Amino acid sequence: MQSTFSSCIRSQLTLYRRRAPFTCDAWSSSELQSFVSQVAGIDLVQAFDYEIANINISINDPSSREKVTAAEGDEEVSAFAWHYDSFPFVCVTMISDCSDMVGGETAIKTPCGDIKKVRGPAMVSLQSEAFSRQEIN
Amino acid sequence: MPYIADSRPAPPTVIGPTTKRATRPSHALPQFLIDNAKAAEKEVFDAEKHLNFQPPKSVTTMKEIGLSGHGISPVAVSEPFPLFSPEAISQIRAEIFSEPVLRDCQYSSSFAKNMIRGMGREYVFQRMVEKGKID
Repeated sequence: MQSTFSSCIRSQLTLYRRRAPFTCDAWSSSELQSFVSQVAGIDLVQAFDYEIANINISINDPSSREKVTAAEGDEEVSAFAWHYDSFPFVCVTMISDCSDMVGGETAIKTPCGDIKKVRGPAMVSLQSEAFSRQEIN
Repeated sequence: MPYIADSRPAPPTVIGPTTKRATRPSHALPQFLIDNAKAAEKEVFDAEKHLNFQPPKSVTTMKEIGLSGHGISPVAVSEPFPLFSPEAISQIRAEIFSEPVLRDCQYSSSFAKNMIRGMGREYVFQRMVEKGKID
């Protein structure tokens, strides 16, 4: 059984090499983790290997250029609805140039109800287990 | 003597997605997203070449948003900062919009219509081998 299991693992490794090696290696690299830790003010590593980066894809309707607001309940307009994360820190990375985009922001809601928005086009480090946040497309 | 728990804010009311089972998106991604991502030639990650870190101009502290003493760090959120080089972004996009990932890793929920989840699932096995948990 052990050898069968091992060969199964080996074939899974082959599959891995075909899927997302660059992304997994990037987020696991000690250099990247050191930079993100520096911003976060505490040493961080990725939470688990299964989902090393999860991706939300948002496609705007090019005919719609209206200003998008981050009001509560506007979940239809956001790439990801208001939520608390399960992890102490998340690193939100924009992999599109959102300088001319409608939205492209991450909104956080503070305990007193204020909404603070952080705009790309780069990336943001968030201690978001502690507060509610939303991505806006 | 006051309980430590009394000094903490009440836990949030969790509002989860109404989608309770793994669900594929109902609409295909626009072809231009897939076509544009294919351009890159595969590269091996190289921190020297692919990282372009510059520290954020400022950070917002937990104290500033009314959560002093909570969480695991005094930092709540940073201003955006560069992390990857343009070449790295091309590589990541090529992997996201590759055929195996789009075939196996697309999900949809009431929280987000188009998600990629579990793209690194085989990585789990590699890490187990590296850590000596599997021979």
